[in-house]
Amino acid sequence: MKSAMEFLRLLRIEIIKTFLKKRTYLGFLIILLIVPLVEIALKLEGGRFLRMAMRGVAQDFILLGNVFNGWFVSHQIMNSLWIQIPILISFVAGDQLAGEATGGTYRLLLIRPVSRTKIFLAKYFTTVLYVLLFVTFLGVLSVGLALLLLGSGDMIVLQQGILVLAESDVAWRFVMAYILAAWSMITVASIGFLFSSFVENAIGPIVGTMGVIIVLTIITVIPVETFSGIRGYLFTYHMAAWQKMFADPVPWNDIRMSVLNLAGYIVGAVAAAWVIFVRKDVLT
Amino acid sequence: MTACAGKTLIHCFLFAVSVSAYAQTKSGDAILRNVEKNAEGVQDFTVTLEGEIDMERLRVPRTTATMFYKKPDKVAFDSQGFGLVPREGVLLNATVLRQRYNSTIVGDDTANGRKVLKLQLVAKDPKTRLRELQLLVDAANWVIVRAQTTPYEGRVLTLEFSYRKESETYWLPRTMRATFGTTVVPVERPRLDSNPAPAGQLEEMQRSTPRSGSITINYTNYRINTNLPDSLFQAKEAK
Repeated sequence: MKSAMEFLRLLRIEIIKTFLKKRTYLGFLIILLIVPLVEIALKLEGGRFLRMAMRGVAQDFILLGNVFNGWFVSHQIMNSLWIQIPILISFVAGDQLAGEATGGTYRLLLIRPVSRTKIFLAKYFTTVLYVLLFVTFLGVLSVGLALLLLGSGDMIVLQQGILVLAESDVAWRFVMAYILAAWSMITVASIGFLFSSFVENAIGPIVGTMGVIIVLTIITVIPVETFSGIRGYLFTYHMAAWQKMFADPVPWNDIRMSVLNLAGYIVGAVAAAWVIFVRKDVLT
Repeated sequence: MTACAGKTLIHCFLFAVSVSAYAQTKSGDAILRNVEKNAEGVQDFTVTLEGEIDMERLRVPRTTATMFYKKPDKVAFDSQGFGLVPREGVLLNATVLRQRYNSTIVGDDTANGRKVLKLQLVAKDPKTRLRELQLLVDAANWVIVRAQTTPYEGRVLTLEFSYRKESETYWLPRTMRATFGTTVVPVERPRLDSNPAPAGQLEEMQRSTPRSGSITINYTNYRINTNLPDSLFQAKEAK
């Protein structure tokens, strides 16, 4: 009980430390700027993009109903931002441990009569909390504003053809998609956290995390047969599992595999970071 | 003398051909007039359309829309959710067909065990979207049971209708099945089995091969001659 209270106190301290840093709000600020900007621009454009995408169908059919609606735009935003969001996540995750080294507070922190594991876990859970808040903020702002600006309706998904999802079938898919997106971002944060554990400067983990994501994303999407055998093992392949929530029927088995694969990366990265952190020599 | 007789024969032949062509055109026109008369008392109607779509690379739940029609050729649609209505054929208006096309009888046939007349329609104005149409007209009820056309290059559209008597007077469509065929060989593009590339939209946009498939529309809940206002059609057009 005492141990748990001690951990909660540590967690509270780490949360306060993290949310007192200006860089923590950088991602929120960028999202606050970019999402309304894109959604207002799309509204002003009046669905030209969708009309272009649907012109093959429009040759044969008259399209009825509000097809250029908030759900469609929110999905497009998710599609556009899923590769940029990891950069914003790594700003905070990469700074969690390396930031202490940069600030010269590592020794002060680790000589306290608290186990390193507790300190490590408090920092990691703070990072996870940040990721959850960030993804929730993105989801609420993106979907909420889009629905406010463009209204609701059946959702058009442009992926391997055209799929139309009934309006009543969309909201839960978005909730699940954002949960899966959060899981992907926790994976990114965990990798950033790992890099953060063995360097002394916060820039290194940020660049390192993005470097890994860029290289693995290229391997994932490039149509080269050589990579086909390893593609399924890369976390970048599974990071887009959220997209499958907009398939019909939802391929739950594929999603389960992706969740497990990402879990493997999370556990691996956190365990490695923990080993490095608890063995860290702060005396010399 | 022989030359004179030959000229007479040619003149006679040309005259006969002209008369025959005139007669056929007139007959085609007369058939369309009969079709037109069939719904002559219908000034306007509102009908619910329930569509079931089965097209490749297009998955749409069952759609419902409302169609408004007012003489002579005003048509408007409304739908709460997403809806697809074929550009051609939801309402084959005999009056419009007669005005815009030259029609010729090209023979007769049987469809669903009934005698039908085959008509060939050619647009009077070459800028008309559907330049040619082949129609099968049920001679018993004077309704169009089948139509085939090429709305644009590479596309073959076949429309099949069934009818029921509304208000115990007018034969109006009960079902319509539009089949979209293609004369273009689809090009297979290599693609990854992976999902991360958010490029589906671009790929979709770049596809030019028309989709094959069909849409079946059920016409229910006719409300005939309710004096629909013209503003209804203006508002729908502006939407």
